[in-house]
Amino acid sequence: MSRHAHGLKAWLAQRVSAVYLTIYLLVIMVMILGCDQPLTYTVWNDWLKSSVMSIFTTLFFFALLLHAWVGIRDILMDYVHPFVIRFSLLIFIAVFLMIEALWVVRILL
Amino acid sequence: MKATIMNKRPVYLNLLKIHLPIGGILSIAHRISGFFLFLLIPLWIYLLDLSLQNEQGFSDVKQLLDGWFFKLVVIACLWALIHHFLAGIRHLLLDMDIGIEKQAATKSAWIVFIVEAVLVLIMIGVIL
Repeated sequence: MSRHAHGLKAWLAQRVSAVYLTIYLLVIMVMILGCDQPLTYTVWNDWLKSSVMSIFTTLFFFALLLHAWVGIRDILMDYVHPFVIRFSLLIFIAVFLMIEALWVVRILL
Repeated sequence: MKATIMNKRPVYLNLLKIHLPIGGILSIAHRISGFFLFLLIPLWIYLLDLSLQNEQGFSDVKQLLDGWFFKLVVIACLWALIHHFLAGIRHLLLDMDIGIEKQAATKSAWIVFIVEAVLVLIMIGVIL
């Protein structure tokens, strides 16, 4: 794949994830504002562990981590020029984000 | 010869002397807020984990979030999120060629900062 297509893919991933993050956050905000129950452990746990919420919340974190990846990658490409340092930082960030993704899966799924 | 001409170009890397237009300030703030939010992701995943473990973990998180230090963290995080969110929506609109003209883009950058200020004040009022 050409460099240009790589950039285009990253650009698209950034936008698609941004749209999902926006929709999720707005829906959650409306749900929280519309909730009249006092928030107890049982209410919180049942809500987040329900099949619909756990799937959409896991997806939210995946979109968030993907979004962060593209953003951090852009920052590193702009400010860190020595190849070895840039490459090492990219690997470090990638591993860090993947660990966070696995952590979320362990919590919610 | 060519090299000497090239070398005479003014290179302005003194950040204090660069006058950024409002759109430029918005852009760099978008970056800084995004980086800040990235740094705090593990904290929120940790608190989510703790709050879902058991009754005890849930009340620990609740107590933690009620403390003044975490209130400041939440305020900083929501501020960054509000900024990143609004500037991001402007960015998506610009991608679709909406408000792409210089005047409109300057105006929308101001609108982002004004809406941000209002939302941040409301948010701080709700939290404190």
